[in-house]
Amino acid sequence: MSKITDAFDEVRLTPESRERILRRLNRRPAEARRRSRLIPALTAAAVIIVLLPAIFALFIGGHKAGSADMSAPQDTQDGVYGAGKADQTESVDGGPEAAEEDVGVPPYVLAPNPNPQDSSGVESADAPDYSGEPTGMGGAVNTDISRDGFRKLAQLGANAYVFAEVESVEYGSDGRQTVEFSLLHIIYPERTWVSESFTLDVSVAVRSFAPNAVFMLPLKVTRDSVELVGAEFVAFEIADDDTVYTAEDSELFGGWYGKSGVELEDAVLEFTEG
Amino acid sequence: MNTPDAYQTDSTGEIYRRRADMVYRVCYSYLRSPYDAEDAAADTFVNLMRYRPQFQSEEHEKAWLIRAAINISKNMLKRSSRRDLPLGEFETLASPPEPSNEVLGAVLALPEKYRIVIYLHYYEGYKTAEIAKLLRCPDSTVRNRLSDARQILKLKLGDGFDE
Repeated sequence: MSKITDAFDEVRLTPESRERILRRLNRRPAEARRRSRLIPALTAAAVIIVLLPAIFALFIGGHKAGSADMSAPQDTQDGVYGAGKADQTESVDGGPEAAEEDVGVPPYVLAPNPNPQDSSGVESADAPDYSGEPTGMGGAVNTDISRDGFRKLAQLGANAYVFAEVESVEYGSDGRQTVEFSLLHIIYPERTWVSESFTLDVSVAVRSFAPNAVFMLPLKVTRDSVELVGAEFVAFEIADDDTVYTAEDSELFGGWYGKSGVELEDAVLEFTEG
Repeated sequence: MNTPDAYQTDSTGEIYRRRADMVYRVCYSYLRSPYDAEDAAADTFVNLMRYRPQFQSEEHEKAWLIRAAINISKNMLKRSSRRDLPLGEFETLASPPEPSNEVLGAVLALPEKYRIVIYLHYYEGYKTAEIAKLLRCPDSTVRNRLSDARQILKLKLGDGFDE
């Protein structure tokens, strides 16, 4: 074997990487099925959205020569990430202004929040007993996001990753820890770093955490939902120490810090304009 | 090796177990980042699931995966160059680790067109004509790239790096 062969022999997927890819491949068939159903439906909706106002305008134009409101199709584009189809339909009946007034639709709630008064939802011992079992890395339950935040995040693509730093830790009387994260970065699927002008506050109760740690929070983003699908330890820094420790260094600390694959107990995502 | 008629295409899971590291190495040769290479490797196997190609032989399977991994890695490089945005202070934490192996570091420091040729020739054992088919370029181009890459590596690592 040449030295080059030896060198490349060291390049291999770590067991964690293999697992991550396998998880993604296992999710893939379900995603593909959903997409195959979604695409025809979206296409049909898009055709209706585009054609109906035009037909309506032509119809009106036929009766009122020169008074057709040709701006309707452009105006309805505002609702593409939010109000969506409902807005578009209403714009036909009530005109663009009416559609604009209706944008205050409820937040995009992925699962019913059993305690809607408590937006944090995770800090107290009587935190909501969410429905649905968290399975492994998944299990985001209460995910409320504002309309603007959703719209911006939806533009990022089908999947985004949020790098977030542990901001504070609280201990509930039930022994669970609630970790407040602050946003560091959101990245595109291609791992391009972005510095967006909005912030994301994530509260996640986890079974284990690392002080000053940075977690990667994968978000599954679709046109009408955002789901926090995991929390994965990335690295942490020790105060007065320039060294950045990654998950690979976890053995130095008895494995405790490098607890990757933190299980989500509950999560609330809130977006605020920065 | 199986004959074309007898070759039964395995499930994605079996192919993944068999070829994951190879696909990862191809992606890593292009992207030089373990994180990006992992993404690209995953995309390669997602494509395998999506297109479900019927392989005629193990070699065919291997070549298909290499080609797919190259395409995905190149696309990823193109996209990242188009979407370069300001990096924040967190950049250093996100930087891919430098390879600890001197030879690997020297290979990865080569221009992109040389890296993949070196990998395919030395690690995968492909002949230049086979590499030319995989990369869809003339045989002479592959030979030239291989020769140039060897010269650069020789300067950096001294004689005997390919022994």
